[in-house]
Amino acid sequence: MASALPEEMRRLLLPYARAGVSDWSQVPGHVRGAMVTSLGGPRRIALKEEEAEYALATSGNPDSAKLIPMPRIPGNVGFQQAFFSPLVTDGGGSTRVAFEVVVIARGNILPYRFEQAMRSGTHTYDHVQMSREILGRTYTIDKVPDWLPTRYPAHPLPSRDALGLFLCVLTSMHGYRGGSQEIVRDVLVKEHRSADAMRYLRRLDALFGDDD
Amino acid sequence: MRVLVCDDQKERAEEAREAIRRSELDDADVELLVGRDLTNALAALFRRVKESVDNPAGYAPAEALRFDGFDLVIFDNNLSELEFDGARLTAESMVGYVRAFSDCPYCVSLNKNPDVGFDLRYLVGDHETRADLALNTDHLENRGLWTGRQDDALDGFLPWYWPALADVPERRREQVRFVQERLMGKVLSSLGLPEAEPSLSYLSRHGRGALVPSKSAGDWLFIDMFLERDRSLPAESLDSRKALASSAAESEPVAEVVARVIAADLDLWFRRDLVAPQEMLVDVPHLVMRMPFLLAGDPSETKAWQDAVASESAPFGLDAEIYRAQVAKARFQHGMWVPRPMFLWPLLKENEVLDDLFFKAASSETEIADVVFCEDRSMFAPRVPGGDQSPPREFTAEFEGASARRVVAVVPGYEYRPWSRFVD
Repeated sequence: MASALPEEMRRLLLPYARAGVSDWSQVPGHVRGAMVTSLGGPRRIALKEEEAEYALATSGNPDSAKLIPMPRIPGNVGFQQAFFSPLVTDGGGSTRVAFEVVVIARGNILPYRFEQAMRSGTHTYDHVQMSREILGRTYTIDKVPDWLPTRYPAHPLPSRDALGLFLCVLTSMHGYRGGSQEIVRDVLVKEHRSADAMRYLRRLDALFGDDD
Repeated sequence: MRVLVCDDQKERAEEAREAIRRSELDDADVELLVGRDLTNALAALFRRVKESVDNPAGYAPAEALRFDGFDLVIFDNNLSELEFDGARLTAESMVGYVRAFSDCPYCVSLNKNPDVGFDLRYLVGDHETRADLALNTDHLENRGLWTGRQDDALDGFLPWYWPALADVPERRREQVRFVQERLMGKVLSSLGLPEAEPSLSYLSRHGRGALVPSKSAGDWLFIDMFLERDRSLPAESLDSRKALASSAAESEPVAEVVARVIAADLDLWFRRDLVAPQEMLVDVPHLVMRMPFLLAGDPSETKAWQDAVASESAPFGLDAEIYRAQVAKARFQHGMWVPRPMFLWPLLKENEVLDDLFFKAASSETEIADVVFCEDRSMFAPRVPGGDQSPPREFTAEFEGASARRVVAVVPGYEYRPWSRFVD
């Protein structure tokens, strides 16, 4: 069953998504065009702020899901571009959040799926695994190898809730010091949400900071 | 302060004078120039303009103009009933000439956009006006408009982008002197602004092309602005402007005209491309929103934030030690161009000590009040107010840059335009 994005996540995801769309608009047109084509066309990508906001507002609905560009940070040259898409589901009295993350590197597509702990089975811990699906579409084209295993390895993550899971997504993509720390601060401060920034930074610190 | 109100209709001019009287400005001496007297004053002005353009080298104004000796000239924009041969007049068509050829430093256009109380587009009021500032008659009774102080604001309405009208004449005179001493000088270096990347990128593409479209910003000369802009002297050809520019080196009166034109354009550039975007320069309230740990007081209390808005002397409500060691050296040094203290944001953003302090504050459990700076009230307010108060509204201004998303309280009875800029 579909559900809305929890407010605590929405307050971070919205500025993050807007920053991603803004950065995306600075990517040269021919590079953007190639990426859009390889991901299945413009309908699948949030190309404007409003599209990203709508995609986040309807995160429980797979039909309106779109890939949202992630912000770039200077110096991160490991991949050309990454996109994310949250999927919120309601079931058994609780809300679960998962993230599809798509990395484009040298024209190839690497889809990941970040998931909260399953209620039963072997994956009863927050984890990330490879995927061959993007927005419900299974990729069998040569840009995504069809031999990719999608259930294992399921790498454990230190998060224990949905917000923590998203902070793991950020840190996977940007690193921590000079990475997710800066991104979280910058996207929120840009929108005059320094109180939020402090709070999310504390959560990041609890997950990835030094013990001292 | 001597104010001259100009209008084709006496009743409207009297309304403006009455509005100023209601502001209870201490030393306002308001005179009216209306109807036939205004026609005659403008005719004398344009005779002077013609003399200067026809013979720049011999330009030596002998008689005073009716506009001389005032600190502020206020024109109603609609002058269609003025007895003038030819086209129907608006303030827009002449206000630049008044500014350039009289010694009155600052010109306001009234009622050009009567349905715009707050400008959500560029945070300047009206970025297209040839006047120094576009206002409406009812704004004049707001004492805060003249003093810049929130506790003087009528209904609490005080756009942060309004310059304090009582201060602007003297600031403009300083601006003109600054320019006149440097007509052949480079603009950015004279102002202490970065001339090259990466810091220059904090100036938007619009800002880098607005003053001298033919040159890179680092190469601008003050005199280039006189040649390439026609905001003040719209009817003069490039050849006429060139003739005036080349006479400026020899003729003090021509140099004054040229400097007044440039100073007015540069002032608008500061407001439109530096003060409003808060990218190259940042003022105290926008700075503490980015670095709340700078506040001297308890950042969990709204009062500490408001103290930083109201403070008029260093360290401006900021922690004195951090201000002295890290912030003061980034202060923009030419205060006549900005309405309040401003700092070079590229220097502060790249300051490693300040960067560390942010993350230290985050890990030290410092509580930060969830407040927003309301651009229409010039004050901080809780993002989520208590009781049945309406929350502030976010909007996206039209200028380029990372700080286009802003907040207004939305004061009842005032028009915010265009409505489409609101994001919720």
